Amino acid sequence: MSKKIKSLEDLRKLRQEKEKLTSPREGDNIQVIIGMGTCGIAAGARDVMLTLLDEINRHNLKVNVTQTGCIGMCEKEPLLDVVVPGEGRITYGKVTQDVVKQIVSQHLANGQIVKQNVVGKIEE
Amino acid sequence: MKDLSHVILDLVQNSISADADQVSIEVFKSKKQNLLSVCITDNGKGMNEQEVKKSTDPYYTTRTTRDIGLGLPLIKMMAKQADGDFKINSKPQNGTCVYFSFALEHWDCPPVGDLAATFISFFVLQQDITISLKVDNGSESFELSNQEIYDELSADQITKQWVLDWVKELIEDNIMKILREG
Repeated sequence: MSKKIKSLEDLRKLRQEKEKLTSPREGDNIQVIIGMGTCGIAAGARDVMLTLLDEINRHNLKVNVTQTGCIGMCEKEPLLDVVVPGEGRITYGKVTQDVVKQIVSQHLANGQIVKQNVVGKIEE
Repeated sequence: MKDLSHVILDLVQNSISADADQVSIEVFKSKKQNLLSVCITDNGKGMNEQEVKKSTDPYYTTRTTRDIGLGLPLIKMMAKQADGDFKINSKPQNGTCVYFSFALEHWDCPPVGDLAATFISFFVLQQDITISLKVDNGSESFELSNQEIYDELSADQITKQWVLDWVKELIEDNIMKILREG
């Protein structure tokens, strides 16, 4: 016996309610890229990503979240890149759930780089 | 890897690297049969016989960033340690199926872990791929796919908190319940 998702109907109702709410700030989207190779996952990338989503929603930001595989800096995982349009790309290492909270509130929301966790920077 | 939800997250990344656009994950758990098994099937580019053999050798990898690969060797070791099985079925151009199992009552049988968190990772990060998750405990089963949820939403709603909360609750109420009862 296999059940289908009967609660999709609930999701439709929920959507109608939520669409009345305000949408986030407009503008070019910031992009966040998470390392999801074996090394990243073993180091906790999945839960860092869930915290990231929570924090983005809490701050009501418009951010694109994507992933990449192993980039060869396994010892510094979980790795997370932030790309702000016009400002190049910052790679953060050893990103714990606490660090990702800092990155969202300082870097994504206020444009201030969280210096102690930066492992690299690529200019645009 | 701490638990099966992490292993599944890792192995689906392999499918994605193999250019799959459909991945199905099946978890079976039954106390009666003393069995916990996972089967991950994709429609990616597949492997030839030699590649299949090499795939569980930690000193073989197709990646270029580093010359060891640990995903499959690790899970093979975990399965063998817990009186389980490990099989890979694959043909070039025909996709790959990875199956592994554990004796449920064995000391080294890993916990299932947070499947909701793993599914939400796919849900947010793999929007171009169809990923379905099915659980079965021998008497009851439940299946969901990311695409059938996207169909109800606009693109910018997918990462909204109310959607993520809804997906999490759906998995808790159905998938995790079936696994607890299995």
